[in-house]
Amino acid sequence: MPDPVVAEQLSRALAGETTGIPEADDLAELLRRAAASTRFEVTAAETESALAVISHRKRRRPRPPGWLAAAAGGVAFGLLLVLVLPATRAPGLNIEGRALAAVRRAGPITVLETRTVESAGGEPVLRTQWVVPDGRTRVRTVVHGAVVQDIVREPGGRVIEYAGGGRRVVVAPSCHAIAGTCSELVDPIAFYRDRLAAGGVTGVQPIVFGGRRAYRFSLPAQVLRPGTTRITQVVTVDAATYLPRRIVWDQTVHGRTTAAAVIDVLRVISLLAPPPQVFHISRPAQARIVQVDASGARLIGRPSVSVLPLGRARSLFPDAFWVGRRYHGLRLTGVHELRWPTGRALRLDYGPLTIWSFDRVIPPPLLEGRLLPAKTLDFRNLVARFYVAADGKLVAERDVPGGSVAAVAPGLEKLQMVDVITAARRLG
Amino acid sequence: MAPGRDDESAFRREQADLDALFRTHHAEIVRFLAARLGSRQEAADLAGEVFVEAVRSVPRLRWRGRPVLAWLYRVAANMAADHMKRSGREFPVAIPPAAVADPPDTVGERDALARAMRALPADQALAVHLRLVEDYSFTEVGRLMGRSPAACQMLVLRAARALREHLRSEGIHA
Repeated sequence: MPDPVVAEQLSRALAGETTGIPEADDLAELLRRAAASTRFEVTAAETESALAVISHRKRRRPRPPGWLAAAAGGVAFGLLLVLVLPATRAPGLNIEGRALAAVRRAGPITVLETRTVESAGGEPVLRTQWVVPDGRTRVRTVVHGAVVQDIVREPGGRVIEYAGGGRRVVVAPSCHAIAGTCSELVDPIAFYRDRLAAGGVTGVQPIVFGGRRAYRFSLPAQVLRPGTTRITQVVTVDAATYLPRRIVWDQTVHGRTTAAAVIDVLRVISLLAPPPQVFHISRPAQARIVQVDASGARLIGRPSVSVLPLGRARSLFPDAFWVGRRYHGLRLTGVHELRWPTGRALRLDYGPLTIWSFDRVIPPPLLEGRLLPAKTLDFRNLVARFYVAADGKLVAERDVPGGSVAAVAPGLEKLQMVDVITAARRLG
Repeated sequence: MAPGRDDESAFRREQADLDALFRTHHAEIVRFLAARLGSRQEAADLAGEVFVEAVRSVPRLRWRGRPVLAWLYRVAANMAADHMKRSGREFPVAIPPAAVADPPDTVGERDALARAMRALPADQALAVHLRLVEDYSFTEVGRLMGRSPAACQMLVLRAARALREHLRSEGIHA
């Protein structure tokens, strides 16, 4: 048999198929045994430790890391939430205390818009971030009027990212699966509050900025090893409102300070509730959807599916949702657990009606439809979004702590679907 | 499969965020070096050198249709080869004996396999590592190695036959 044929059969055998060609099957088994000894786990702690060791050997990067810009946005965000304070203050008084108190009084939903110019050059980056206390976040980055990146972190930590250049939408179990995404999603309030609470505001001085009285002060952001790199935020706040107008990220390496990024705060809005569509990303035309595993390098693959007795499902999925043993004459006929290495889902079948509860992985039958433009309905204090699944069935979905619950049914109207999704209650 | 715009976009992102590059690929570079050197500790040390070199060089890389990871593997393979030349010694087995005693036959075969893996030519070793240890598809292996998937399948076949011959030469029949 020609070698290319054997090689192809060997590749099939490595994929788990039985080829019927003894040499291919035997060699596949031999290769698996040979590779087994190096299939060890390198923990995240080992990786972080190694990263810390080499950090001080790095050259200064040509542009600040993504988290730097995000964190700088955080400073702007936090300070912009400062309530209007007395118009005149002498510098050197407890500015950081007032700022910190103001951050702690921040409203629940906030929208921050910034414009960033990096010292390494490039176009100004316009960034809009929506933050909700339950962990949901959306960050949209625009350059030259075009969306270059759009990220949503959903309940449970799963992330959906659209990268304008890539023409694809990536769904991942967490931000760690997509390079640079965690830093983009930094909670600006938490970052700023932590730095402010840690103290260290220095160099308060009155200045005139853009024709208006202002104060400028420094706030330490990060110190790597002593004598290596120091990162400082230089914040300019309006003297009348104490709202920040500009944040400059200064990077000091071996005694030499350069401005790594200049962030102008354009707008901050405080809301009681997020606009219904804010945390929904629609797949742009021609963009494909991929759902990856925790490594970010591979697709999630097929789940392992198990049939569960109801009692077992209750203990394994206490936070899952159901609509009882019967719902309008439909009897619970099946309980299935779907498990991936990075997430799991519970599927409850009531004849034609299906209830899904899922956390970090979106069940494949829902994935495509979920990223189409969706209608959102705010009804009975419940926000549900509606879309059509791959098989044409209508889906109603709502966010719950730690995940999502979705009802799938053919032939039901939206209000009937709202009834289903409203009737859904915890299984445990 | 020809590289697309999303591949280039991912390349640019990795160039721009070296911490993320490190976090994403550090583990697999350590595993690859462990297979080549036969020592996990030495692999971890050398992986650090690979990423120090990456900090210097990756921002200057030009897009040539292959991901940054391909460059990391190439540097890792070169550094491993240099390291082996410098040390010029017989390498230990890849993994120390397990806490639970293995049957003697299994231990002997495992050590022989580890030696045989280290004796493989670099390109065969890399193809085996990418497909068998990291579970990349042959399409992805080809993209990382700059070869066609069929060529990578041939590399793995040759590697497997070389392993089999090595075992036979030590009196072990797989």
